[in-house]
This record gives sequence, structure tokens and C-alpha cells, in this order.
Amino acid sequence: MDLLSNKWIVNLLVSWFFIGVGCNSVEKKIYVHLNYTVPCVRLLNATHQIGCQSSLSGNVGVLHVLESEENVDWVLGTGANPPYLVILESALFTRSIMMKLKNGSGRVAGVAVIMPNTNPLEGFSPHTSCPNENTGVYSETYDPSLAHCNVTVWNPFGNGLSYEEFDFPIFSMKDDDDTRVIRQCYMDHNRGVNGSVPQYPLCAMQLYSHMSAVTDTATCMRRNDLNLSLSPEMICDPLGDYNVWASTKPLNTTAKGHKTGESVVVAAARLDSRSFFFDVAPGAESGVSGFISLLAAASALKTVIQEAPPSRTIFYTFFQGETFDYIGSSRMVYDMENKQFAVDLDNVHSVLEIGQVGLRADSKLWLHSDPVSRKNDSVNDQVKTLITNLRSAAVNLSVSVDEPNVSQPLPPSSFQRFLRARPIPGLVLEDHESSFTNRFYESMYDTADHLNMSYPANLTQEEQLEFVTEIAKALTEVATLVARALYIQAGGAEAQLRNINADP
Amino acid sequence: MNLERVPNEEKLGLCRKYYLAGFAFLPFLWLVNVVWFFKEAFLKPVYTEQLQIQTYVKRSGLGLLFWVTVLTTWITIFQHYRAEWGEVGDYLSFTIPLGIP
Repeated sequence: MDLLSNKWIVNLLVSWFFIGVGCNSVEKKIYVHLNYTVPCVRLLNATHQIGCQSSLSGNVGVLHVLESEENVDWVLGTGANPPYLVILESALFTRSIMMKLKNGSGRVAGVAVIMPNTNPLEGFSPHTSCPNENTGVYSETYDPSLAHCNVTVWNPFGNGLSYEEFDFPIFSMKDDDDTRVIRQCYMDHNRGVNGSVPQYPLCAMQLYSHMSAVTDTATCMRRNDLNLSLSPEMICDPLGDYNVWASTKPLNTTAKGHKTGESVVVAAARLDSRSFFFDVAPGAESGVSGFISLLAAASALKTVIQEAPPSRTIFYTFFQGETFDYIGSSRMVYDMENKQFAVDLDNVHSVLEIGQVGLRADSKLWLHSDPVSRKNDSVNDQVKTLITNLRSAAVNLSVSVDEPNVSQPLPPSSFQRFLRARPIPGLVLEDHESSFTNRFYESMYDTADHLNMSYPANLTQEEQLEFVTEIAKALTEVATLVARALYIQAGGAEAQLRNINADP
Repeated sequence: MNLERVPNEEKLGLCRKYYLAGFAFLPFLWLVNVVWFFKEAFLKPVYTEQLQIQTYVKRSGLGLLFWVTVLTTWITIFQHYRAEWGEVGDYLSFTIPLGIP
């Protein structure tokens, strides 16, 4: 009896012990998890790797909020507690500071950039200053004087950060409460007051973005296929997607190769964009403005083409992957050359490409053409016809078109890949005469705010969809112009032009 | 295994078996031979079979040394140069580390 009751008492006590203690996660007391962070990832091409890499268990570093460029010396030299994890305000996210940190040789564990809520005043573009210079048409063989942006530097704000290789992780954080906590922690613990060395305990941060891909594309794809052992896993993913194309006349797409008697006007635009960080690709001015205008133009031409079809077919093509050395357009040209596409290059009569058209200064649009192919008279005549068509299309609109005064090469555009195959007459429609007017080309700041797309304060989501903003009106004008020009270029009658109007 | 109660001819037989088996690319058997029979061969008072055992142990030792040098050299070269060998290095590998060349 005694033994049994003893056992019961012990059991009761033990169960009370477990209930009373509860569950306290030590991790929650040490770590604060951050939401809304975006890493920079590693990208490979045929010969190099770019982007950032962290160690297998994440990079841990002592927090340091960088105050100015001179403060970098603390991180690189004088600071007593390396490795440091540097927090940068967006104004300090410049090439000079990043290159100094890159050469930090182990003292820099990572970088976190605080994304501001409004765009910075000066331009910022992590892309190179001469985008896609090695994969366009301007090379030493085509015309050495025009190669490598010798005549016009298209992206003067470009600092090339996206194409550098960093061996520490770089993240972007939203400027919210967590960021405030981080700054406060730095002020309280990590900052040396009056030149004194900060002592432990110190605030620290851990960034984890381990990348499996390494060396270059060939190696990585080979290892992908090879992985014979215990855990087959993907080491890298190819960059790829689909181009979208449509034609005004029904075409037999199963019959590939040349179609006799077909003459096609290609209307091209690009779909994609990028920024320094992964999956952040607003591209409002660099990509969206162009393809929205082309979509609106296609919609505008719908009824007229059915009632009074022009003699040539219009091909609306939307290329994907143009940021990364013209993935989409090079594939289409390749397919056309190898008779794997519904039409081939002999069928292409001319090309009109819509580039960046969102930021028009004094309502002018510029028509860029390729001076080298225009040395050939027949091509030159065709291009001149195209320009006249565009001018006549612009007659009753508030947009005006013009050719740039200087003889300069084409800006980076999908049309360059067509020219690489053969000299086709064509034009690229842009809103800049020489360098880009886009100060945030291929960066995270190229957002709707950059195009001044703002809605009045008290609209619901549905009302916002119906509301016509200024930029929408501007792009409508562009779309009408493009639609009318395409119609004339395709051989339609001038009289019909009045009926072609894009709907805002 | 305790060799104290084993008769000498059996000891010789064991040593011989391990020595011969080691030629089948099994250097570990030679290592076992050396370690196991070292006391018997060199530290015990003389008996008839001891000379034979001594030869076997010495030869196993030599073979072991040979294998150790070959393997160490190959492992050092492979670990150092695998990244540079590109395709050949990948085909020779069983697992390839992620994220570093």
C-alpha cells in the first residue's frame, strides 16, 4: 500500500514539473528574424560567375552601420572585432564603397542594404554602362568605331555592380521596424563612444544565402547531369522562359521555314528586366513601358485589320530574357536561320522595335537606326520609308518623332540580333536621343513611382484599375503612333489612319 | 586474438596467409600483419619459426609503406587539382562540393 502511494506521489510530482516548466525557446531570445529581405544570388555565364555567395551555415558578422565613406576604414582596418557585417543606407550603396568592401579580405562578412521608400535623387544603375556590348551587332568585325559604346555611352549611370563577383552575401532590407531595431542596437552596443573600442557583448547579424552553382555554365550543367550519387539535386537552373509572338494573319506554324509570298513586319518589344537583387525586377521604364505600348497598339489595330487588311502581315513579338545578352531574340533569330520557325529571315520585311518610351522629355520620340546597314542603298531607302511612315502617323497626335542628329549606333535592342543575321531595315523607338533618360536602368528603383504613376488618395483597388493616370495617357499616345505606323508600313491605306486609336 | 596459446606453426601459417592476401590490393591486411606479429617477430625469445615470421613482417611493412606513399600522393594531388581538371575531375569524383569550385 505504502509503495503504491509513494509511486503515485512521485508520478504526480513529475507531471507537475513538466507542466510548470513550459517551453522557452532559447533561439527566440537570441535571434530576431527579419522579414522582407531579398538576397543577391549567383549567376553564371559561359566563362564567369557573378553575384554573391555565403558560407554553408550563413555568414555571421558584428553589426556595423556605415556612416560615411571614410568609416569604411573602420571595417577594413581599425575595427577590433572582425568580421563585420556592414549595414548600408541606400545613398552609400555605391561602386567605390562596394569595391573597397569586396577587397576586404575576410574582414567583411556581408552587406545589408536598406531600401528606401522613395527613389534616390541621383541615378543609380547596377547594370554596365554599355549594356550587352558583346552580344549586340556592334563588334570589331561589324564596325570597330561603333563597338563598345565608343560613340555614345548608353547607360552613363551604370556602375556595373551587378556584374561583379562578391564572396560575401548581400541582402536588401525594407526600411521598417526591424531596421530601426538594428540601428538602435548598433547605437547602444557596437558604437565606440569617444574613440573607445566597443566591448563584447556586441550586436551581430547572420546572413544565409548559400549558392550551389559555381565556376561557369558549362561546368554547372555538366555537374547537374552527372550527379550520380546518393542525393541527386539540381545545382543550377538555366535562365529561360518563353517568347510570345502573334501574327495578324493566321499562319501554319507546323510548316517551318520559308513561306513563299509572306512579307512580315516585325513589331518587337521586350518583356523582362532585372535588378541587383534576386527576383526584384520592376523595370517600369526599361521594360514595361515598351511592351504595354505594343500591346495597346495591337489592340488598337484589331478592328482595322479585320475590315481592311494590309498587304503585309504584322508580327507582334515580345522577347524574354533580353537583359541577359538577348536570350529571347537570339533564340528566335537562330530558329529562323535554321528553319525551325514559322517564317524565316527572308520573309522579314522590316522591324520596328519599341524600346523605353515612358520618360518623354517635351513629347518627342526618337527613331534610332543602324548607320552601318544604311550604307547599303536599298536598306537605306527602306529605312527612310519607315521613317516617313512614322512621321505621317504622328501627324495628328501630340507625339512627335525625329531622328537623332548624330550618326550613332543602335541602342541595346533586340533588333541588333536580327541585324547580326542579315541587314534588315528597321528602327528602334526610344525616348532618349543619345544616352538613356532612364537614370535607374535595370535597378530596383525603376518602379511605377519612377514613371510618376500616382493615383488620387482615396481610390479602392477596382477604382484604381479604371483610373487613367498621366503615364497611361502618354503611353496611349505612343501606342496610337505605333499602331498607325505599323498599319502604313504593312501596306494599309492612309485614309484608315483616323480610325486607329489606342484606348487608355 | 590472443597468440599466447597458439602453436608456432599456426602462427607462421597465419602470418603467411595475411602476407599473401595483402597482395590482392589489400594493404590493410599488411598493416594488421605488422601490428599483430611485431611482438612475435622481434620481441620474443627465439624459436624456430621466428625467422620466417620476421621476413613476412618486414615485407608486409615494406608493402604498407609503398601503399601509404602512393595513396597520400594521389589524394593530395586530387584534392589540390580537382577544380582545375574540369571535366576529368568531375568524372572522377563521387561527390562534388556545392558552391565552391
